[in-house]
Amino acid sequence: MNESQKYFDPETLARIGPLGLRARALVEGLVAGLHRSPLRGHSIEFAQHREYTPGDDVRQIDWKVFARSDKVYVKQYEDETNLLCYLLLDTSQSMTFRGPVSPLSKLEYAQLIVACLTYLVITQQDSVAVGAFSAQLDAWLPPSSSPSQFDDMVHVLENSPSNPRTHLGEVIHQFTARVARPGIVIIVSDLLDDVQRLTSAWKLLRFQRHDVIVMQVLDAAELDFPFDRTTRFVGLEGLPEVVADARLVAAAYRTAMAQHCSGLQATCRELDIDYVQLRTNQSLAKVLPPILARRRRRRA
Amino acid sequence: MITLGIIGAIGLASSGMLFWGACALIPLVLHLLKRHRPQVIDWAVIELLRKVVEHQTRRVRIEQLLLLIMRMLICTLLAVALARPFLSTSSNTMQVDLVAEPRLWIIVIDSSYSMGYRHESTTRFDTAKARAAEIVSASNLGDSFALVRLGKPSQSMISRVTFDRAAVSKQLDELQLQDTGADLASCLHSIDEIVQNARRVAMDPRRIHIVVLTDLGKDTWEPATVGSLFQRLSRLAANHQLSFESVATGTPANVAVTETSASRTRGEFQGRLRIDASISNFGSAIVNRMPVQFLVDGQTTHSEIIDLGIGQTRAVQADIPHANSAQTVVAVTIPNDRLDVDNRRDVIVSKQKQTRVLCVEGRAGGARLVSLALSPTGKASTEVEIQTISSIELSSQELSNWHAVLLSGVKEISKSEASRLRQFVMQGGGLLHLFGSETVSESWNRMSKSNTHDLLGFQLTEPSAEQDWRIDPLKYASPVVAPFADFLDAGLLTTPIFRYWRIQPHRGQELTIDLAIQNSGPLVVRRKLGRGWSASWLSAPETGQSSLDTSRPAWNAIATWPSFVPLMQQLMEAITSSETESCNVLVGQPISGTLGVVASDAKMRVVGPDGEEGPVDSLETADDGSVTWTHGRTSQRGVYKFLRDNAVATQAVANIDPIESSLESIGAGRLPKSDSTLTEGGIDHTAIDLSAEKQDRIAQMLLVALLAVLVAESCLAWSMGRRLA
Repeated sequence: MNESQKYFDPETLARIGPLGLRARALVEGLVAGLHRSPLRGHSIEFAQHREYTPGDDVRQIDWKVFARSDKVYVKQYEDETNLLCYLLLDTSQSMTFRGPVSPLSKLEYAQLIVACLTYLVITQQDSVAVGAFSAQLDAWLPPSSSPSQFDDMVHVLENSPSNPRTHLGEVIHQFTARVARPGIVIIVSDLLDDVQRLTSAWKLLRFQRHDVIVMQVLDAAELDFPFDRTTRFVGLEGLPEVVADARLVAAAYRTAMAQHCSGLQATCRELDIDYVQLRTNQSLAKVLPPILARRRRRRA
Repeated sequence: MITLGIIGAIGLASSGMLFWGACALIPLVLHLLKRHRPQVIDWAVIELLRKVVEHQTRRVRIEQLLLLIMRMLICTLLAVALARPFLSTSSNTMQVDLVAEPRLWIIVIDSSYSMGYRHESTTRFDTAKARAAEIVSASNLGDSFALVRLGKPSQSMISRVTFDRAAVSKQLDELQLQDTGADLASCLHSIDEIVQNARRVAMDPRRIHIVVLTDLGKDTWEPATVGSLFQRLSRLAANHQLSFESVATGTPANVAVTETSASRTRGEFQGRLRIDASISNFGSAIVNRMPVQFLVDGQTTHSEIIDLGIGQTRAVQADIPHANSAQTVVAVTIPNDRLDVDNRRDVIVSKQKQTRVLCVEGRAGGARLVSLALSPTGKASTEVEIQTISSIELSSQELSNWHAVLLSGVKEISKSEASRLRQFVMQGGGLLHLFGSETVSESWNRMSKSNTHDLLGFQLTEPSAEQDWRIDPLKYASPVVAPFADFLDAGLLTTPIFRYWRIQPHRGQELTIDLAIQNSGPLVVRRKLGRGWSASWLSAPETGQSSLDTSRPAWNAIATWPSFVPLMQQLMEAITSSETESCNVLVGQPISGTLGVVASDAKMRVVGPDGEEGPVDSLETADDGSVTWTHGRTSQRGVYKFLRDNAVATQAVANIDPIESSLESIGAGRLPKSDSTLTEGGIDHTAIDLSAEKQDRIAQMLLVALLAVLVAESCLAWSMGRRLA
């Protein structure tokens, strides 16, 4: 692990107390490893044509050139300078869960992701807005490309009120009411909600022509269910507790969890939404670059 | 047990095993313990988990409950199977209860030779073994067994109780009839040991059944009707289930050779030996024209036809030629009857040897009279050689050269002399003390108090008062005086005795009294010491005249009497008969002999009556280097040949003790018996339907069910485990 990557290790980050300090430590390391922003929008300045290759967005095909020359070219534009990025962070009670072997809770891990992305957007002179939600949009930081936006973001995330339950549909309604201009919407949540409700919310975003990225943050224990004895599971969102012999339900739980996640992934694929699943014990140095690289390829 | 009215009863033969059923609670307890200690975890994916649990719980709970029930059922079935349930169709439920519990059967089989009596073609012993086998096969599953052979001595054939019926049957098959009598005391000791071992493993004493299969021979069992044996039997009867089964049937008819003896084993009478035999009729019918044969080394030399009345005993004599060999085996036989073992009796006669007697006199001429009595002609004869020495010379004499040592008028002896004399007697020599007026009793008594120097076995207390004492021949039972029985005018009874030494035998010391003073103490006593005899004449023979030196009055006038010479000679023969005695023993008694001074690696082998060869039991080397051998395994009647360097060194015969030949039985009613359902004729197993086979069937059914549950449990557990994995 080199000097910059140590900041991405969740265990290292867990030792850094305040979120602001922790976020700066992270993004400094991240920036040191990135040379180009992958978060690019659609530009109005045409740059050049390029021969179509399979995988390119068909919407970028220049049909006029095709009509004239019977050759398929795609249009390339200059980088967009007026990117608008909306970061929505789930701060409900379920996000406070931290597994027995995880150094960070899901919320802490998600906060770091949001901070990191905020910094990236700001450093490329684009605007970023940050929202914290649970049952509703609890906190909202309007879009800005000012460097002070980062500190504001930290303040908002640390002090946002929180409801125990999540209601993403209501949150998206509130979000769309506030936002008029489409942009990149990045939702960071554990997505432990009904898939149908989530689908409705995402459809609304896509209807508003937002480019949506969904980051599902889960603890390793939530996926692997490593318990081996009778356990009383106390619901974090005020839900009644469940007592079960962990060995007997583990297999069925894992199956159900996998089905839930694959359902989300399928929905996202249908809605042309980027879906990323993150584990809180994964190093951000290993998680973020592939996500950003994939994003870059997609936009390219 | 649950009674089903007239139908019968259902119950458990080993209800104690039901306690193992408590193990069925173990799975339940483990289940509950596990349930009551859940870990608590805050959980985010609670809705999803709830759906999973709700879906899984019903199935899992059913499976868990099923698994729990199966595990409890396994323990329960096993416990019930071990408890041996039975279903009896007998209406006698009390009887069922008595025999249903697991029992310890201590089977005692009389193996004394009287059990060899044949009734029709079956001996009593075979009947007893068959009865024992019947008891074993009819016993309940879970019953245990021990086997004791009543013999002399008795022996525990199965001392550690066993549940293995095959092993018991095998032991019964291998059980052999003995040529001995029966020692009830050792049998009771064996039973006590088995009972104590059983009690140590918490066996209910009332479930210990002692079955004695015997002919209830009078000589064995009569002593058990009174005294300590009766008390011991009573204790067994009170604490356990004691029963006697008599295998004696019908009126026995038996004729036996009860005694054989050679009248002069050491000498010849005109070149021939006289063999005396006693033939007794123990039957209830007159025996006519029964041949009696005398065989010398297997060859018939004399035959005689006799008639025997009911209960009559007849003496038969034969003069037979003495063989040239060192030992002659003479057998007296009668035709075989229903009890063969007592139809023959052997006696070994050693070839004449010169008897060498060392006379030690306290004063000069003190042994002259007894020397004359032993050798009346005064010349060196072929029969007796006498050398007279003074008491001072005793310490320098090599005693092993002599057959007997005679101490005449010796006032006292030293400790070393006493030790040497004692060793001499222990190795088979004869010692004769003549105590008279010159004897210093304190010195002899001091020596007699020491275990290592005691020769006498008694203390000399005081001389009797002077009077005209009369002789008591004690029914001429002793071989010393037996010849006088047919010659009442030989002067024995009128032998003049004026004074004699009164004695006090040591506690527990057995003394043979050959001759006594009427209404007073003994006159001639003998004590068996090792292989030899030490005899004491308590009024040393005198002529009846007062001593000229001391003017002491005479103690007797024996030397002047006609009985003196035969009495002395008989006494000398009695104390030098150890060699003959050691060759003629009863079955069970040890045979012993000496090899003299031989190499330390000397070996001695024995060939028994059955032809089996083996080493003798023990070889011991004395301080002087002489080797003594002893062979104690004389359980068979017949001739034992002792080999040294593959040549017969000596022979011995073991005869049966004729005590059981009478075949007279006592009634079982005279013996203590437990008050139980066991009948006098045996155990009524037919009244109940509790055979081992039937119990086996029920147990088998339970075990099959147990196996099925085990398989089902394994499958279910495997299925659940697979899902867990």
